[in-house]
Amino acid sequence: MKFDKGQCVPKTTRHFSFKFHDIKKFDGLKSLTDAKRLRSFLPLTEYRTLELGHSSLLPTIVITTIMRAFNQYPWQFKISIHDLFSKIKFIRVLSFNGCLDLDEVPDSIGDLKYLYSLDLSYTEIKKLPDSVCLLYNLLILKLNNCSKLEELPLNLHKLTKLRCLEFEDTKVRKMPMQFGELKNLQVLSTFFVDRNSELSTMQLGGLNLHGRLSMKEVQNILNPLDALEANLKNKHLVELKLTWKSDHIPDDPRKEKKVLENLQPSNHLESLGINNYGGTQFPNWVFDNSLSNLVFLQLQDCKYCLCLPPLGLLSSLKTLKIKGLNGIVSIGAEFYGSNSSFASLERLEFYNMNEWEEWECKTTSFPRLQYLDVVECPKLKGLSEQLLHLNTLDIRVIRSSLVETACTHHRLNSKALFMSTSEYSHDPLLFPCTNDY
Amino acid sequence: MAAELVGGALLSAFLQVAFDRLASPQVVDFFRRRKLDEKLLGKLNIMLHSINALADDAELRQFKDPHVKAWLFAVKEAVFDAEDILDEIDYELTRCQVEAESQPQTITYKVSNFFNATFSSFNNKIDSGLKEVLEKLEYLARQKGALGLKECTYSSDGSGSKVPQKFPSSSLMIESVIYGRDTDKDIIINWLTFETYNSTQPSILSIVGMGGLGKTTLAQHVYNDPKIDDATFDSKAWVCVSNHFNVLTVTRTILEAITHKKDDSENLEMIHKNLKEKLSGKKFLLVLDDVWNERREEWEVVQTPLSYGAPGSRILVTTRGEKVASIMRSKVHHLKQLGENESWNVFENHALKDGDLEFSDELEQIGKRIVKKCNGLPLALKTIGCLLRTKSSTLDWKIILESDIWELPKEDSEIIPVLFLSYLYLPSHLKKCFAYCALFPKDHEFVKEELILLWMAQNCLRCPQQIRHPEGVGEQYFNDLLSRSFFQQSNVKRRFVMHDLLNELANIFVQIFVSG
Repeated sequence: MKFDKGQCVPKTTRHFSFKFHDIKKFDGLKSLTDAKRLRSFLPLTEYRTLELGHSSLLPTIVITTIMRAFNQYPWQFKISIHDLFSKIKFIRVLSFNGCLDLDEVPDSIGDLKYLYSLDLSYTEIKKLPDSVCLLYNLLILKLNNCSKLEELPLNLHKLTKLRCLEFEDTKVRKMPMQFGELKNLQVLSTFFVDRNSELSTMQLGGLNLHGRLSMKEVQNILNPLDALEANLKNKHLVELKLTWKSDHIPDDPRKEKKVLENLQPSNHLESLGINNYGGTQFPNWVFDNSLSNLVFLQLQDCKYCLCLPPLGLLSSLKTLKIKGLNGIVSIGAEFYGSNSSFASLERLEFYNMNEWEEWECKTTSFPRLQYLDVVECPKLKGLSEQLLHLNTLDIRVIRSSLVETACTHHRLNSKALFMSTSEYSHDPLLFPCTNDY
Repeated sequence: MAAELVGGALLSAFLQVAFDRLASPQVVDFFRRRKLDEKLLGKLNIMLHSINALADDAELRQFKDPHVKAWLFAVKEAVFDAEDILDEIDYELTRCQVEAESQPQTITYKVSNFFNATFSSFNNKIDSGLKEVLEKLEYLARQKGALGLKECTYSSDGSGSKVPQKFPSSSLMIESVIYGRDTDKDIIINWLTFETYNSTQPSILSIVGMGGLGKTTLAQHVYNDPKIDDATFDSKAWVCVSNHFNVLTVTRTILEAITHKKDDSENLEMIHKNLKEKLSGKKFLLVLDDVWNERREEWEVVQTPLSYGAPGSRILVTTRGEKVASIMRSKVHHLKQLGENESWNVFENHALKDGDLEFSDELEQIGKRIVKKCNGLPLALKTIGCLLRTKSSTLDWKIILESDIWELPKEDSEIIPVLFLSYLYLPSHLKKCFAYCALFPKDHEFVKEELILLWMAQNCLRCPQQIRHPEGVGEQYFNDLLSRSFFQQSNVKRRFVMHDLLNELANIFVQIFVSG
């Protein structure tokens, strides 16, 4: 049932959810403790959608008002969580998502043997009690944005039925020892490659994952054959992010390339991000249309890369973001790959390209381009005339050297926006990667 | 009403899951190894089947007969108790497996004596639990005569044990066409673009009409019309207000929508000041969708900063209530029911199978009569169209036409009969998934994957013997509900919403069913 103003929660209640703006009217958890057979406890964070009008530059976005909800109405438990647990023994779905007052989960959580789903995302917990590993029926465990969480429980592999494990944006940097035994796992948010990369990637290789995966600490793979063990090619992933350590110094660029080569995902992939990669070149699968369904690609801080691969060959690609590739001085024919390049590309963004000077392109290079962002590219000498006169194109050039030259251009497309000031620089929505300004 | 065609009772969805589990080799084996009373298991199975046979009749009669309603509620409690026992057995099964794997063989033998003690207490618990549930169920089954409940044999061996059939998918998920609203659209666009010179306040127009008329859809089509481009307005913003009209929140949301920036301010004065600055001298279009507020003072506070916009600014409101429009001192555009031809177009568009160009004469005749009963409500036409797309025989169409649901008294809810009908025709497993959605508020934006996980955790997904991945089954359930128009694509990619009226419908069933 949903919580309505002033009502008490009847004994026979099985499911309970509430929205945060109702919380003022809610008496902590006290009234719930009579509902001994409760099966769901589900605080709902409110998503609000803002349709963006005038500026068609931005896609429709969603603002989560979760933090605000809590600042407004801090969660107040009138009974301890321990007491709560002892009362709601039949709970199936338990969520404390967004509960900033929660910094510790009592051992007695292990008594909730009916629990199928546990969501502790956006809480202040530092660790999970070992007793969590006694929740043998658990299918879903979510720990996203637990910014203080340092490690996953050692015996996590005992949760053999687990199908979904998420822990994005936590302090966890290591997978538990026998992680690979979670054979039923379908959704895994993050995988940290261990220093013992062979064993580590073999564990990942044994899992039949779907959906999204972020693979981190990839620099720990020293032997390219270990990368092959991860078996990404046989996983039904739609979103993949590969991240090396940011201060990673590669000893042999060829080996770096070989590692990435062996991390080739299946062609179900729709979104790919590669961060801090240390090779000078990208392996062929990144651009040769092995990923025929790829619509989103972001290359970030791959500092050693000296020239861009022929990404124009990716025929389904709609969005391309290139950020902080400081090795790039010029972009030319090599970027397009063929005469009919970037067949589907609608959005192209360059950010923080400190050494980039020249950009060659033809009118036909981007047949469907609608949005172009060039932000923080201090040495770039000019945009090609062909681009500037495309009437269908929205262009933003911000804090880049060519602002002045471009502004003097007379026949400028009316949709173009050139800014040298920091007028919008504090706006994280507009410029997510330039927060430090 | 011919019960043969109804998709199966909500209760059956719970029972089917229980049957699958009772029959699973792991559970049977567990009973043998633990020397638990297998007979109890068999008895429970039989008893649940005989309850299941009554479920359809009971669920149809619950609206008229409070005793049947109470009976259903008691049955549900007992079934929940049975589920609890099965879950406990499941837990024990996995626990034993996990512990056997993590302990070296030799030790297992030594400690087995210790385990024997816990075994017997566990056995006693299961034993007495099962007996208690059986007793309750037997008692309830005996009420059959007194309540006059009839048995329907189909749901236990017909629709139930079959793997659910796939619902034909349609290319019409997102409505790109809007039927019969051209005049309305022109009027509103004219109003938006007509120059006014002497007004200081932005003019307001309210689209007024009952739920299901397509007010929001019309506003969306106007908002996205190429005629309303960047040259018409300096700033465009869409704000979904819904039934929580809080001056601070609404004003802040407007500010956020105008600036595309998140705002954390709690100070109304600051927000007002900001909004005033942003709007000063700008010609803006603001859509306030689904407004319920009937208090003039509150609206006036929200309105203050909006008066700083340039002449020609517009506020477009959608609401069910005339009073809402009058306190805003807005012009009113009454949205009317669709005419006969337009109604038919909407219906045909959803009821025709992909590839078919027209109906047979016979179907068309029945179809026309069904369309008449929809009273020109686009939502009703859409929903019934989607339902009939799955039925190709004339008989099926006739049965729906002659259903007494059309005559159902409205009581205090606005649920239109046709929605009720499409609920009844949902297969029972989808009824359960749909009912679970009542847990979410109106305007909740569903993320498919998250909802599927929750369904999974509530045992809503039937995957006999693990043949298929539950995620895949969940995906299919979701798509089925989507193609039956129980969900709609939201403005945001990969998110879905449920129409207000369907949310109300889910709530009605959950209330009847869960809280008695």
